[in-house]
Amino acid sequence: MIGPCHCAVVALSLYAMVSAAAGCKYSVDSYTTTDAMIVTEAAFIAQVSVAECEDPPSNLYAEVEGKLVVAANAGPNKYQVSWLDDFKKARRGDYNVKLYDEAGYGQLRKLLRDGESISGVTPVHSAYVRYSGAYRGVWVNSEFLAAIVSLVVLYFAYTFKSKIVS
Amino acid sequence: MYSLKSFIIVALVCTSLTVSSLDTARLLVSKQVLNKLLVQDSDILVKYTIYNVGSVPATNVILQDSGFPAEAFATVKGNLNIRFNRIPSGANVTHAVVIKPLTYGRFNFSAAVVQYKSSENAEEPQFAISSEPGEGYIISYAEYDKKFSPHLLDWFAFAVMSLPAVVAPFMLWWVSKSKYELILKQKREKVSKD
Repeated sequence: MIGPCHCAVVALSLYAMVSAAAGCKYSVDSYTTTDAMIVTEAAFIAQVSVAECEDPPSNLYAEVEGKLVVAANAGPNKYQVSWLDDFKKARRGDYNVKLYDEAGYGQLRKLLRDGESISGVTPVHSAYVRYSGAYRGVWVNSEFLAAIVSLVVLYFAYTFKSKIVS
Repeated sequence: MYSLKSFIIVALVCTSLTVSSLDTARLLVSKQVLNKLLVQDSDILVKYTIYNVGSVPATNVILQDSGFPAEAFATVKGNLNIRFNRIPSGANVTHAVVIKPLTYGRFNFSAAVVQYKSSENAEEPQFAISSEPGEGYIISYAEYDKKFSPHLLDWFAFAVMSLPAVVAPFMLWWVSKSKYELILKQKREKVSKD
């Protein structure tokens, strides 16, 4: 049963989200580590900057594929969302990062705790972080390839020679 | 009497200690360098994890890492000075920064400093020091390239250099063969004419 008080809270938070979304402009600049030869884990870093905002959110939260991440404040109107994943587990492609303010995050946590769908909560902004996949070195060693090529040449030379001799 | 007094004092100190440890936030901070190799001009991934093992939330948590001097490191992405408004009790937050070394050589990865308010009414900020990743050797890009690059150009050059040794005898044989075949052909034509 939903009481009038609950409705008011939801309406208020919805209003807060709409006003926040309408007022602020979010821009996301992202980076991922892809060189698995050097680095041991795939790091996803999204730097969020908020502009033209009368009342910027004091805290910002992100939801990425069911994972909740607390954004770090990195100066006025700047936030950083970062998470790490195993190179083997990290999927290639675009990751949808949904940003929430305090009210949205509260709702999100409640819905996740109750095991309900979180699609009803509107994020203040959503962006994509592209992960191009890990580089784990060359497929075939060049030494190996060179040895194969020289063996092929040797084989042709021998068969040719035996043909001529006979 | 004296012993009773001292006992009471000790007990009081103990209670105040336990009360203060119960009502405050305590942060454990780890700083890790998640790299197999440290290479000049390549990514170094630094991960900070802050655990709150206290019983109340830590507020105004400021993480500062001044261990990467600007003349030796460039920040690829991420911030080395950040703030978390609140870390609840029992929760942990992670933060990652990617930097790249501009030079090579031995480098000591030192600790980051975290300052926070350990309780709602704490006036003095509490300081914490992260774990130290320790010393590491940053290898030069040329050295890394020598060890790990596929060396395709080198092998191509090797193939070009060894080509004359294979092609020259083949060409000699091919020329003599075609000459011989031409003579044979002419002879056959002569015989058939006759």
